[in-house]
Amino acid sequence: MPPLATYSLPADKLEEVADRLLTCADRVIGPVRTPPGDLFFDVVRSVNEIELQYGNSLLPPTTALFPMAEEIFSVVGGTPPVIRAPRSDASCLLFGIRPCDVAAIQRLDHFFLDGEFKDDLYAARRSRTAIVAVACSQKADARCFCSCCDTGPFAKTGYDLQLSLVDDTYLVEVGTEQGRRLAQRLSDLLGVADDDLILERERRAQELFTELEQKGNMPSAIRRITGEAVSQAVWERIGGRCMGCGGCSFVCPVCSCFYVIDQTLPDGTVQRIRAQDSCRLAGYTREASGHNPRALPSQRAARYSYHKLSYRYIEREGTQGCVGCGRCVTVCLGGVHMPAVTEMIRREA
Amino acid sequence: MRGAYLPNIAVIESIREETPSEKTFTLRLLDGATISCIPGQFIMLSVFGRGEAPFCVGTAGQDMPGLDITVRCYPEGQVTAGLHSLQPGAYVGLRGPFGNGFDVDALHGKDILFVAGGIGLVPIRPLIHYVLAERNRFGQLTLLYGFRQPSEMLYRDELAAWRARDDFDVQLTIDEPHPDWEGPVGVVTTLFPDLQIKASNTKAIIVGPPVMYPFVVAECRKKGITDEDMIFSLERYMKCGIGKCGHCAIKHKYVCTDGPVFTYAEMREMAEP
Amino acid sequence: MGKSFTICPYCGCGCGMYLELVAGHMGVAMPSQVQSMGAGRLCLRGWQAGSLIGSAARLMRPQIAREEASWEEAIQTASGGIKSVLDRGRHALGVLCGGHLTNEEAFACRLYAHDILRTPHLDSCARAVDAGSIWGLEHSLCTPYRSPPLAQITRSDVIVCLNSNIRWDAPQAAGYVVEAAGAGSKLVVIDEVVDEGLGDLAALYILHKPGFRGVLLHLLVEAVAGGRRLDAEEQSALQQAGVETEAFHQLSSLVQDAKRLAVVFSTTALQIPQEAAYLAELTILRQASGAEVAQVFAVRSDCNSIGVVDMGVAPVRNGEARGLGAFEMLSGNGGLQGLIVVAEAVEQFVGQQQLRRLREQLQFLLYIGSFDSATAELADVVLPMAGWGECEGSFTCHDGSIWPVCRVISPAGQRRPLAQILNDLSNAHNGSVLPTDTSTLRAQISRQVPSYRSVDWAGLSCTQPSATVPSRDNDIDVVNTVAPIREWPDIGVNGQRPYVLVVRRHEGSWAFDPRVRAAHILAREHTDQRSPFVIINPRTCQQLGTREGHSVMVSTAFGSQLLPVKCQAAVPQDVVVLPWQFRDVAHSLAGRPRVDDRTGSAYHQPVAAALELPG
Ligand SMILES: Cc1cc2nc3c(=O)[nH]c(=O)nc-3n(C[C@H](O)[C@H](O)[C@H](O)COP(=O)(O)OP(=O)(O)OC[C@H]3O[C@@H](n4cnc5c(N)ncnc54)[C@H](O)[C@@H]3O)c2cc1C
Ligand code: SF4
Ligand code: SF4
Ligand code: SF4
Ligand code: FES
Repeated sequence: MPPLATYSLPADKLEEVADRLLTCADRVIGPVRTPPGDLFFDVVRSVNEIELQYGNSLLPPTTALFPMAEEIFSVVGGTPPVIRAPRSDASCLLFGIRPCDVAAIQRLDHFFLDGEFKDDLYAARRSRTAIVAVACSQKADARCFCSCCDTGPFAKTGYDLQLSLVDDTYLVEVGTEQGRRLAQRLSDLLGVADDDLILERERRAQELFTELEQKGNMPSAIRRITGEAVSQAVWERIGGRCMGCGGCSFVCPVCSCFYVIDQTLPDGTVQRIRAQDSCRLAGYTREASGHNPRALPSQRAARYSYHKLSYRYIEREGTQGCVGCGRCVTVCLGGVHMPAVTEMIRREA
Repeated sequence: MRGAYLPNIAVIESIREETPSEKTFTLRLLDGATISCIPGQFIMLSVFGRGEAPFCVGTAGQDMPGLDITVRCYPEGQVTAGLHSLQPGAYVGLRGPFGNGFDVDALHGKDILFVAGGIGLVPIRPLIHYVLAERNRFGQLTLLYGFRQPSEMLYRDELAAWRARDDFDVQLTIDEPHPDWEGPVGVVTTLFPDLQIKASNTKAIIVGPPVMYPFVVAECRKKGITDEDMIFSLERYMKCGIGKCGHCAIKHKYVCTDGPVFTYAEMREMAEP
Repeated sequence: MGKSFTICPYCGCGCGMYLELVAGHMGVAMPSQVQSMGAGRLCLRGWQAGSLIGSAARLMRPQIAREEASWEEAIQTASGGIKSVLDRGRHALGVLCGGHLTNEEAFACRLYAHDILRTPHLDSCARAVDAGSIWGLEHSLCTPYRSPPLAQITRSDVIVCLNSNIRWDAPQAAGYVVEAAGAGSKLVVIDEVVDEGLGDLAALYILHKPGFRGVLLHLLVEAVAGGRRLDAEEQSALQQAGVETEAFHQLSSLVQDAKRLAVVFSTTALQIPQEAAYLAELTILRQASGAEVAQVFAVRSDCNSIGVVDMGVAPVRNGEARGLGAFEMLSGNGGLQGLIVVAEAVEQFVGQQQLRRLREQLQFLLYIGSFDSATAELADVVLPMAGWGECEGSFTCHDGSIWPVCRVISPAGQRRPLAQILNDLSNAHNGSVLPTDTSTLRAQISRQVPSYRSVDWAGLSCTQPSATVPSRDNDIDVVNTVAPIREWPDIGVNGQRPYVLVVRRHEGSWAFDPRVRAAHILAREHTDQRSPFVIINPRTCQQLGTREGHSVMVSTAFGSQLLPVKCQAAVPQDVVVLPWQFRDVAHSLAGRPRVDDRTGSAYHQPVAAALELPG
């Protein structure tokens, strides 16, 4: 989808843009460092907290829409009980997220919002969230591989505003009406984007795209998983190495599974909570009778890959379930993260 | 409209003990609210402070003030044990109904073979109610119901009434011999060889523990019933009922929204490694 | 930012993480990439650590005889119970702590036990579980043992990993092993079972018969030390261990040729202290003969196993008072009348049955803890204490570094911080006051624990964490009194029988005393976990009036069991060879053995075992 409008922005005005955007929403979530030095997407209080040169954050910015844990509702009283849904009408602006994460949000949007039922909690947050993406002008992280997933180095859709650095100028693309309203707030800083700027961004992105590794593992894994051509032995090898920590799901911007529990607070209020879950965990499918349809680690490994890469799901969700952010590479205790798995599958062929 | 995750409050009107571990709860929605379900659908039931779990609707119909559910208690189970400890008058939460339910229209004019193992009779019961209510729209009716011991027989009174009819062939069997039992002994598949059915006009409705399925499928095939005419209701760990939590997914299907009723032809496609 | 830096409350890997409070009452844990052993990795427990904060198993209110009570009542009842036990002498009361206490909490326990209750019986379960391995390591390495940072595993070219189950016992270490193996390090796994996980990464998988690991490691040390082939006796020992000669030679040459050797295991995985000693020995030998580096990475059982011992939570072993160790307290044979258990579900260590038996012997049991357990269920009084995330403190991790532990929420229900509870108890006891605030406790730690003198406590903040690694010499005080072998009690047939492991040092390497070694090997030969039995000398058998295949009741301080008898002439008459089920006996051999000047042999205190005919 072509952008609705394009502008140029001198690179040294970025700080001012960020500063202006801080007032455009109740909360601005951006890349900020903790004092020890870990990068998280968290509430930005002042512009100088924002750090745009980051290796991918360990937890994805999608946690602003689908948090690690959240309250579904709480119940008070008993005769009869009264249900209180949490109010979430604060607006939010996601600043400085990468194209791969933009692609992940698109898939989550499709999954949570389209179809027969929509997820109210996600919907409430999403409808009040604006996305200001920053395209990658160089490989962002030693572990990422957007080129294999066609999600970078810049986003083609899914953003409200996108900034792409070309030398000392940003190309500013407007993706939505919401983006247009944001651009209006910045109009005095924006200039005209001439064709050269657009073409040069295009050229550099192409250059970066080819420079990034093109192993071709991903398409071959998609084919072989869809065709059920991956041998049992490979799943067993992957399952055997997996230590069942669930980390690969908790850090994946695309993963959407959750479990639900009730917790009773000291004052007697019952809080129903949902928290992220992982199909890699043995308890994920274990039923009260003790029966577990996916009792073996190999079965769970196969499920994880099937959900992410089978064409049957790509059909259902519109895009594949891996955007190439590389986060699972960092967290995997067993060394069987997405790139390793696609590699193992291809090596077998 | 209430959000999809927010339950309606219902009150437990009465509780009937079916077996030592199964009880039927009659629930009524508060404030004159109603619920419409078709057989084979399920609701998500909340016992506040314990959690939420799926249970098949035990009664079906339009704009009902409430419904029945029959629940097996797992002593360690959060919801089932919590529910079993409640008394009439207690409040619970109710969401739904969810799921596709049985395609009742497709059954019209057919002979129907119900095969139930243990608690599998629960989702079949409202379908039997429906079929019996419009008996003349269906052909030959057979129910094969197997359970472990005489004490585990569900819906005693109803079964007696069904057995008394001459337009409904009801056959019961228990897994192992028992002094109080005079009927056939053996798993439910042992009833198949003597069965007289017209395979080309038969739909089989099969619900029971997963271990039972391969054996029943083999027997049905022997009788000539096609995979498309074998209809199952599946059970999977469920947390949302609306296709979001991911737990019930098998291959690319969600049991909660694409099912829980599937034909065997569909289930073959869903086999995981 | 709502994220506070902290350390995982589970295993001894000590992963750095952030804890954040969500929707007021829920904790969420996230790994730290820059300040963590794991560089961003956590195991399942770590990822789920946040749920401790809302856990349904939390103890929220004080209880007396399982009935909820007010704090005042509970403290009064507890204090009364303690007094009535102390009336029988201060040796009648024991204090047993968990390995998850923060340094500050552990120190407060020590003050309470030593200064207020004046009992010598103070110990932690973590120390007891780790002790065998730690003793073995310290004895060989001649230094208080601290593991190097786990990330250094990746720089080795050969990794010897004991038991694939480090995947569960020390996941973070396993993560590095996997990483290293993936990057080309040669991995050797020594295990009794085949585990697919590390198995398919292993260049060499040594599968040995259950119980033969000590023998195998001993032979390995011999081979590496002497750079030689095994002699006939050793060959047959190897055969008995079920290891192919060829595989063994591959193993010894891998170790011999290693440039950078890493030996990785979890301290809980070892069966006898000697195994740890052999492993340490291997690294010493390699370091002495040309390896660039050879290191032992031994991960402890609990998140603060090291700190709790550093704080002095260990039995008093000087003067006339001999404090009981954790297992001795739990055995019920130490003559205790009262026990205070702090934050440990001790049924994990002795089983529910033994715990119930112990309960019957005790006049009074006080449980102070954050979570419900069988121990809490049996206690006369339960005092609910603030848990992880509810009060600030510090942990000392596996490499000796000290890290902050954060507070993100005030204690739930009526829980109180441990130091405050102990102060309340002291007050009720005799009007004494104990420090309750973290800074006073820390100042006192710096004064009283030599190796913590230089700790920069101010720098230990959860918003700006940085590890302090204090220097440490002689800070561990786990010296046992050991009875030399000739002082063993004379034994009658139905009387006490010792179980011994005798270790002798000769020519720079270790060996079992030959007679015990024979017994040991014989025992393990037939001993697997499914059909345990006891091996005794045929003469003893005769004296007892029993026969091979019949059963005798074997009792030790660690439990009793009816076991079938096997007779072996190779077993000395004063030795009873116990099966693996009695491994706690081996674990309890924690102290340094005394070395006999004359023979050079080192002896452990024998553990008594009684044999009786059943019924
Ligand atoms: C579509 C459907 C219809 C069902 N209908 C009935 C019925 O009519 N009567 C009846 O007695 N039981 C029925 N079950 C099974 C019932 O849902 C489980 O017994 C129940 O979830 C156990 O919950 P618990 O909290 O007591 O157990 P816990 O062990 O505490 O379970 C924790 C969670 O596991 C999940 N879970 C456990 N067992 C199952 C299971 N067998 N199937 C799905 N999820 C499970 C639930 O999400 C539950 O919240 C049905 C299940 C499904 C999927
Ligand atoms: S599978 Fe891994 S690389 Fe792919 S999107 Fe998820 S975390 Fe990123
Ligand atoms: S991160 Fe790796 S070890 Fe952890 S669950 Fe995922 S695949 Fe398994
Ligand atoms: S490896 Fe140990 S310290 Fe690390 S997350 Fe797991 S339990 Fe916690
Ligand atoms: S129950 Fe949640 S996806 Fe089906």
